[in-house]
Amino acid sequence: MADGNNFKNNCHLQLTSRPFGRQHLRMTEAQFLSSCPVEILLNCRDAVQRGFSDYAARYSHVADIHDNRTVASIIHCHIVEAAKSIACGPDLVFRYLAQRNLFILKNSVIIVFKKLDENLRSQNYPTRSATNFNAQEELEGIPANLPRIEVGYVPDSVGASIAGIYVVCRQGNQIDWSIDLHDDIEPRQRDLKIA
Amino acid sequence: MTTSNHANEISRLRDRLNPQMCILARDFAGMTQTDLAERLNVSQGTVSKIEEGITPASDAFISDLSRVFERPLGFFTQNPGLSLTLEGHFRKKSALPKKQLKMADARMNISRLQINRLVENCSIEFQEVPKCDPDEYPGGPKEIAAAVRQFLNIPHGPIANLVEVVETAGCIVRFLDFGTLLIDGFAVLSGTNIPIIFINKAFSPDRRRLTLAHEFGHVIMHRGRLRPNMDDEAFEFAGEFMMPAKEIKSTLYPLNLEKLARLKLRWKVSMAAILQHGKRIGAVNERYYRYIRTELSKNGFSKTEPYEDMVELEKPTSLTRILRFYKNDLGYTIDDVANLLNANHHEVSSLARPNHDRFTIV
Repeated sequence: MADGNNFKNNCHLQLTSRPFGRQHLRMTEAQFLSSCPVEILLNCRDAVQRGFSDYAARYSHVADIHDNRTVASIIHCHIVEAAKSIACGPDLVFRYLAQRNLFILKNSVIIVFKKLDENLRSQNYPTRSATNFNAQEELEGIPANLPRIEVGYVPDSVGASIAGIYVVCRQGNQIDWSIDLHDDIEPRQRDLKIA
Repeated sequence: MTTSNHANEISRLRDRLNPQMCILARDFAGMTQTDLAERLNVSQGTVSKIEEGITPASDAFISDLSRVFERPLGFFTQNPGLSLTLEGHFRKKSALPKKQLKMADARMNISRLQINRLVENCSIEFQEVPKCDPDEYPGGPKEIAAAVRQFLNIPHGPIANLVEVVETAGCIVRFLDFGTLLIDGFAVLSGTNIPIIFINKAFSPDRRRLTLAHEFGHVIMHRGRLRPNMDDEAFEFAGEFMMPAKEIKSTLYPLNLEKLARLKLRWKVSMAAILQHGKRIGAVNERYYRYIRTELSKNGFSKTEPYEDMVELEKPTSLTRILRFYKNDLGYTIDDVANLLNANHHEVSSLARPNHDRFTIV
């Protein structure tokens, strides 16, 4: 299992200042792209697409009694299973820590799959655990010095198809950077218009 | 056929040319008399007089008709013994131009004549479709829909294959290229009183399902009769037949676009039709109905809805079964069937494989 020391030793990340004088690791987009093979990104994108389409294909007989939260939860489970089967390998390892499905990239980055809104923000109940996770704070079994990256999908206005798939790096409630994965050819920088 | 035989055949047929069939072929092709006159290199007056039965057609005229319309000579001389003015039930837009209506009418008429010939010459038995008078049911079309579901032993929940249900009930379903998007469907009786339901193949599977249920409602409630508000009754029947109120009503609250899309996923009926049904059964009030309609329109769902590819295209099988009977039991070749129906090979193939030819808009 990956531990904090390994991460610290293996990654080459910038140290930035945070409020109250603490320091934490901040991963830039360039650092992420250089450490993450394109194949893994594309496999993550495929996992998202497969997990999403699984819902309509397999749950149509009960779709009328599901609410948005249930649908998102089911899709998340299917994305995780798809990612475990098509994206995991020596460079990407699945771990279940602190009741979260985490994918560890080269012992240096944590990837989680999320549903995003049109501003690329994931929606969470603001529990302490969720808040700390998004703020890149330490959680049980998850060291604080692991940068956390979200691979997420933006559904269309009725949740019937995917409008976009992105890699997003958050700092609390702010989006630090994002990469559009929905392009069929290559991942590319998204022209963000976020306040 | 040799040249001399062909000439003899034309001579033999000349006096029996049925002008109505000439008009039908012309309407089918979407041609005016002027268009046809140009193609035949004759005056419009000549075409007009022949179509009116004032002057007989020449040998060359009949032969050219056969060539221009790519139909066998027998097509133009047949006397179907049926009214060629369709008297049935359309689900159509009121803005349908006369020319397009004539073309669609001709396409359905020719298809009906062919189906009629197929059915009256084979020994396959058809179920008698239930007939219910809305005046005899206190609950009206809604009660009739529930009774028909029970009669046909349809289990709770969505109807998985509506085409199969309607064909099992005794109808023939035909997906047809109407050449226009302004007609959804049409129900008519064959010469042997078997209901034939034509559905416009240009539309998505979910829309075809509602149209089929609507036309099935006409067949059950309005066969051989005219009533005020027939279309409203047919829609009420269709809604209840596809989505029984006691099963869907509780899931219509709270309702938003996302929920509507998931309801479509479940019931295999368009979001617009579910919303309409919700209003009809009192689950959605008028104001909220209008709000959701606006939202559907704003999101571009008036033309193409989400989950279009999740509603499977259902395939009619009655005609395929009948043609198989001709081939396997009676030893007919395609040529034999084409001769029997006065049809060309393409039309015979289209009857046998209803989903294989494409839709065209004129």
